[in-house]
Amino acid sequence: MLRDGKIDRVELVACIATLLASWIFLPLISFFVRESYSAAWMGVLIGSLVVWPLTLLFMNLVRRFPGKGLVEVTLELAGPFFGRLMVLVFAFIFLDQAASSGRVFTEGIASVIMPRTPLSVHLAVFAAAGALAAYAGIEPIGRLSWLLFPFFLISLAILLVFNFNHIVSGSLFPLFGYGLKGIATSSVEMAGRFVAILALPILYPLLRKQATAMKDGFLGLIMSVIVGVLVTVEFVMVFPPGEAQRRLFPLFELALLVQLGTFFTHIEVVFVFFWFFASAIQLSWGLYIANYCFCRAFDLPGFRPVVPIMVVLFYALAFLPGNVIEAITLRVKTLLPFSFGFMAFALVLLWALYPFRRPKPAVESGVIRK
Amino acid sequence: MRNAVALLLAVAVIVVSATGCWDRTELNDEILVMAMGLDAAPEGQIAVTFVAPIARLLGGGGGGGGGEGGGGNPVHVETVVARDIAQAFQRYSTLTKRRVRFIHLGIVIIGQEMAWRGIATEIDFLSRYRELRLTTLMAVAERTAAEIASVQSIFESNPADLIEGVVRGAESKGLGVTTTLRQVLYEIGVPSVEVVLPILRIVSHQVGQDGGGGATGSPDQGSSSSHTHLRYDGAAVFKGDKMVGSLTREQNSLVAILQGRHGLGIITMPDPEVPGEDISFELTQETRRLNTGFSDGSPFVNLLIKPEGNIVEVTSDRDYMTREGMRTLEEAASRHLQEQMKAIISQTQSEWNADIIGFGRSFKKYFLTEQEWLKYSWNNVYRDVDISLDVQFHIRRVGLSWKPTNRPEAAP
Repeated sequence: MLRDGKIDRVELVACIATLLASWIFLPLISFFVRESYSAAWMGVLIGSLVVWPLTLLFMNLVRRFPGKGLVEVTLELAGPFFGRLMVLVFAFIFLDQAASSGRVFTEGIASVIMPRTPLSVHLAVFAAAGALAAYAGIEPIGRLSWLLFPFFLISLAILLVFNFNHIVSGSLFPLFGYGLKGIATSSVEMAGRFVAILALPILYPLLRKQATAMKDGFLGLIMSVIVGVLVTVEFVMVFPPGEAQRRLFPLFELALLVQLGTFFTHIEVVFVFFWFFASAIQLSWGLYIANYCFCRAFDLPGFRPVVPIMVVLFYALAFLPGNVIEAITLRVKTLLPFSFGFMAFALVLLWALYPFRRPKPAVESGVIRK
Repeated sequence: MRNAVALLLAVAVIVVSATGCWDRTELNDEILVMAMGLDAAPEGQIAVTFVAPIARLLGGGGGGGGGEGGGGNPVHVETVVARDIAQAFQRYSTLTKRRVRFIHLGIVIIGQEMAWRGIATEIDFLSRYRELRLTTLMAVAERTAAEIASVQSIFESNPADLIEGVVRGAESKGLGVTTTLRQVLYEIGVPSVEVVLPILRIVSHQVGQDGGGGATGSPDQGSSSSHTHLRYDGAAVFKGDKMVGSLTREQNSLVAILQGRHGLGIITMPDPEVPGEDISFELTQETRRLNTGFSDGSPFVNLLIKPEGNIVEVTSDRDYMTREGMRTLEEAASRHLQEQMKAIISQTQSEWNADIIGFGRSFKKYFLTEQEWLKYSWNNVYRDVDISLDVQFHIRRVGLSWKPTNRPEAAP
């Protein structure tokens, strides 16, 4: 039963970092460069950090309800109808992030490496890997995250180091790119992607050491911010902004440039191997959390029977857009700002309801009855 | 028991599916395009030349048409005229049942006419098609790309190897720098730096009785033959996506120094004290300091270049191997390089108004937004930028000889 699973500190860090850093596989960097040009990194930095104060407020709220997480708190504060509706939106956000990542990541594989294999097959393999992990439960996903996260980081570090020789000076100027409006737009979209940090208050009851949750969550966030900013900066310096905004799959493009002499070429497949696992783990976290929200909302005793349903939903959501451009644009321009907006809305609403529906300590602890 | 069965099943599935046989591709089932030429064709069309080695003929390795059993050219060169590269690629693919692939494409050559006409619209395929790498080299043909692509050389049986080798070789010998597709793609789209592409030229050598330059054959054979070779012949200067002029090999070598991208190379200059004689230096490294800014609203560039090198040849009998002699040579080399480089910078400003050195990149930091930078219009400003250049050449070593070989022995 997933209900009984617990995750440790390191697994939480890996979970948060994987969930938050996996956006680098998507064409978001190119999108941000289109919006803010050489200042794309600022949008990434601001957008990824701006969610932290909101997370602190969520955590502050959740801690006032001992033994409960964001899902349970939402149900308690917003009531069974609106609470469930909000929790379903939380579930949708995680499922959508998994679906969009899955779709665009497999589009990248289809565009660069295996164009003859149908996308449905790519995505089916991807979904099967994610579903298997989600079915196994939170502890296996946590351990797998922790096991593979260092390899993910190492593969990225190698990629960045081997592209140093392609760096073009002056690419990060003008400092503010297309201006503050572009940076603000990118920040909101980035923040929408980082809404996944809600995993921290949602999984709060499943943490083995709740006392260090904030510290671990922050560590995961900072790791993902560093990864995101470094990859963005290097991409913009290797493909100066004018060209960076034309490149559809930034990470693949960087990998394609890596050449070690005349013998070691075409080594992008090595990177893709690690990225596939990182993406699959992000997918399994997304499926698991969506699953968790759904089952908690409707007080289902077991989670496993719902996994196949979530996988079908994931598959359907992933194929909703007709083509790769639609898939990217729909997510970036519509769903990411919506995710961030909903996060802010939920925070305000829950804190507004708190004074009226705060738990009654005496009744909760049973002191009065005794 | 259940676990054992599951394990056995898993192993069986992996053993059967992981062999890779299901999607195997034999080398003989593919055509690997290694070089591509792009020429302008009538009615707005494009002539695409594909250079692909034929795997079964490459084994014998005979020069210029040799191969297995001496039968046929080991390289297939085909020119296809079409509306764009994609259509040419499709038409070329129909010549054979083999799958045409670009994963080993090493160089793309652009014909002179197309270079003058503009290349931006023609290279979209190169940036978009998944098999093409942005590390692919680019060059300009002195006349047509088709001519370069079909060159037969005594050194290489595969023209693609030859073309790529000549371009890479020129860089390693300090004659210029290679330019990749990635650089071309971003440089044609920005005003802060312009594209410079190597120019390739076919040179004919007469061998035999009535041979011209470089005749090496036996005169009593009573006949003559000729062979061709490919030469790195300077560089094409672009403004935006259109070629606007060219640099000689020597000039291109100096441009590479100005850009801070010079490799090991030889610089030859007139002997400062003996007219008609030369001194050659082998450059080993360079330090470059670029200082830019605005003075009374006008942009200025101060460029300090400190090349270092070793003496590799002194043709005169003048003995420079003293402290004073070294200083004399350093000053003369500095002066020589400075004059040559200033002339090139002046040419880029007055003749082409094309910032091939990339000074513009350094000016972008003075603007807060891209809109302000674009409004400043570096393309138009570059012509009037005050550029000062200071070259300080340092000699580090003199080779293995104290004195010139033609200096007569004399008592001290």
